[in-house]
Amino acid sequence: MKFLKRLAAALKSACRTLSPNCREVSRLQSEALDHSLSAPKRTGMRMHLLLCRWCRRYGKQIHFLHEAVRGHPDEVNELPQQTLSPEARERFKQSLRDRAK
Amino acid sequence: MNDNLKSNPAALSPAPPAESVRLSDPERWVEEHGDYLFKFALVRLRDATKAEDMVQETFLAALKARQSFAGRSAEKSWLAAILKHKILDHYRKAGRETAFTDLDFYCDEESDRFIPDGLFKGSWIHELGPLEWSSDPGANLDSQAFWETFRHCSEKLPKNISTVFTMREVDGVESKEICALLNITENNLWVMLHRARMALRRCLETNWFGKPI
Repeated sequence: MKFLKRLAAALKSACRTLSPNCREVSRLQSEALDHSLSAPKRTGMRMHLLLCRWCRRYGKQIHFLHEAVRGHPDEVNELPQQTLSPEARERFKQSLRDRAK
Repeated sequence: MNDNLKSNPAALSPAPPAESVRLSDPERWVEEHGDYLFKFALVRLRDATKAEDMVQETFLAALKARQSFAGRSAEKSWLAAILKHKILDHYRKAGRETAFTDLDFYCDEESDRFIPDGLFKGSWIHELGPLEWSSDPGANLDSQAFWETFRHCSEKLPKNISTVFTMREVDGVESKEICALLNITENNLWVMLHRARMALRRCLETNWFGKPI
């Protein structure tokens, strides 16, 4: 009986891995940008993507984001309204002068 | 441009030797690179006081290390590299004192876009699923307005989520290094990155791609 329960649980989790839902696939697609997925997870994700255009779109869009951010560090770092205050500038210069002595 | 080079051979002379870089006036760094470094720190720390402290430390460290800077890279990227290390160090120290992960990031911001139960539990609700973006989203990358929207979206991320996203995606720090630095598991990191991407995607869709241009 215990054995059957365990078997059922294992089968259920295998089914889940091999046929993930959209919520799970959105997470897997993100993970795939950071490391390579295990073969069953990858297979499940790919089969889902064959059938689901929403998830294909989602994947394309986060991939676009991933590439865009990597290629444009200066644009990401730019905060147009933010500048150093004159006091901070003076303080930095003073500390550089003190240290240089 | 070419004509100018031909008629003026001096334009072809090499960049000033490393010596002049080494002897440059450190106070000039504050004028020329201060704002850039401050913004760089602010994006990563979201705290003006801390950002100022980091920039000051960077200048002092640069002063000390000036002899070893042989002008191999541009002064600006040299200073930014020092600052990047200082910021990672800051998080390393902070990570020892307080747990970096908090529970609220486990709540999924897109919950309302998936079918909550039944046979199709976890599927996109079709009307709320991802929209088709323009056929060439890459064309937006030269637009200042696009990046302004991006920054606006990124500022709305919770601080910790934004920190790991910037470390991983902008600064390209390895996953394992981030986990060691912040004392979190890889699984935690992936959930946080997933949440960042999800929220940014949604925000850009609402505020940029979904709008008629």
